[in-house]
Amino acid sequence: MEIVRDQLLPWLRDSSGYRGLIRLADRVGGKTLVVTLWADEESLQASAEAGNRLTELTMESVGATRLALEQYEATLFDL
Amino acid sequence: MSTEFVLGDDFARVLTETTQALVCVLDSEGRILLFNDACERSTGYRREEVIGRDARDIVIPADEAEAFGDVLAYIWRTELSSPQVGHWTAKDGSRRLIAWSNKLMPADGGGRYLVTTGIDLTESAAQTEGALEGDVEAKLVEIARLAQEQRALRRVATLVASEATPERVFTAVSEETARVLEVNASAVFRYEGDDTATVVGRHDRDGVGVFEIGDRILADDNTAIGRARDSGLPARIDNYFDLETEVAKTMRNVGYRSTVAAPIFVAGIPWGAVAIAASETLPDDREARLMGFSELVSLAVASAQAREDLQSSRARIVKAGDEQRRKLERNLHDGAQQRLVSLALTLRLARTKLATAPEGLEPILEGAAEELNKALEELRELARGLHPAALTEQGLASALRALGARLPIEVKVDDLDERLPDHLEATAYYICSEALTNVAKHAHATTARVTFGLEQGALRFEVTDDGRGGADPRAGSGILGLRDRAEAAGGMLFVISPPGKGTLVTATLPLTD
Repeated sequence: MEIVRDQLLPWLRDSSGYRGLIRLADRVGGKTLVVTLWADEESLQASAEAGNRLTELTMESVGATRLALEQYEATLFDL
Repeated sequence: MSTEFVLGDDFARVLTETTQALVCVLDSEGRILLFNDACERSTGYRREEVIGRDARDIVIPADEAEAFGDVLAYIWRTELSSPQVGHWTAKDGSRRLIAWSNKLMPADGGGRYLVTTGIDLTESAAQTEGALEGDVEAKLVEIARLAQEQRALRRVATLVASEATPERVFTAVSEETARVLEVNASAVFRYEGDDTATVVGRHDRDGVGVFEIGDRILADDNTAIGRARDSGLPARIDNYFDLETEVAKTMRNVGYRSTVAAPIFVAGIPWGAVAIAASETLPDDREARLMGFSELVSLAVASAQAREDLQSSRARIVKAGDEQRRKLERNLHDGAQQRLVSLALTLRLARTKLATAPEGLEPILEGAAEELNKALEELRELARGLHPAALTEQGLASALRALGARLPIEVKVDDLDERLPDHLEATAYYICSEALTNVAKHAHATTARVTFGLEQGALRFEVTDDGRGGADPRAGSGILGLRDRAEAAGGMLFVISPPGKGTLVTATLPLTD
């Protein structure tokens, strides 16, 4: 996963409206949930195409398959 | 029936016959072609006696004949008007002092005439001289008064020259005009573009407390400042008791009977007025004396505006630089950087495939090569935007042709064989490229053209298009940005963009810094 840390994350951090990334792993079920946070929907859409392409490449290179790609509005924070 | 008044030949004839001004038309040799009634009255000559004769042989005194010839030659060479004060000799041999203005007029059958109109100053000049005869006492009083006025004007001028704020100048002008013109109330007004004006400076020795600074008052045809604005000349209200307006009532209530106002012009437009008020009717010479002060206010306002313009243009240049850097960072991030990240991931994928399924490697590597090519192309494009290599290598015209070839409109660029100093080529290139990009983006044009001219130590260039015109120099920072660049290089830039007639951007840059 060093490719994500060294290449993908630095690029992502410089994207306008990027607010963070959380990866949650279910080691038993072999599933991973990645949540990226954006300032607003506009920023999300602006990065969607490039982000999607880069994610696909990342998954392919680590041999993972994407189950779903969904968009949500963050309505409550308690971090 | 049309109510539009057309200035036809009849009008010109009637005007020429009836006016009190001297009207005389000359050809290029100085021969008199027209000599109106006022000319006849002033000189005692009848027009039959002068028409067709060289003015130097009849009305121009011998000692001014050479100067007259010079003026005539100058006007014909430059086509510029050249106001003059000179003498005419009347039939009885007396000399008349006349102030002339003149203008070339195209003649019907080709060629041109010089139309001159004059005011006979002989009587008023004699009056002024007469005024200085009389008793010594009166002369001394007059000289003392002039000296006081000059000192007051100098105090204000010093303030203007020291770049004092306009507010201080307005206050000083109010105080000095009140002192010198011997009134208790005076004020400086700024016109507000409608029929109102705002008090921006005042002096109120009586402490009547009307028209405070910041008050906005009606400046219509029933006020001296309104009349001064509309006529561009000093104006007066002799008696507020004859008027039933709010302003008149206010003035009456505090004991003022009359007002004189002189307009303040900034860049040729009435900006405001200096006004004085008194409890008696103000003497006749107040208009002329007030003008000296209003001219100083013009200077103060114009120089304050110039300083303000300079400051905001500096701020715009800095902001434009910041925005440029931000845009560059965005372009790198969204373009080349993203492609390189993607390339890194692809190569990583290729390494994985090499171990597991090497037969699938080819399309992956193809994709990687393509991504790399795109990244390189984008970097080249960015580098060209920073400073095109073609500009350094081949000069301004070639660099602009290369830029034009990448735009979706046809761009014709004139030849410019001379190479110019680097900074000048760069400034001209950025102004032209910005102007051409604007044409491609906004003008709905099919063709744009760039022309150059080297003249009198300056490079002059024009960018024209056949688009829809109507570009507003105030809207958006595009045109302002172009002007800032030209002015930062010591040059000038103008945009002419009538709706439906295309846009012309013309700039002149000095060849030396």
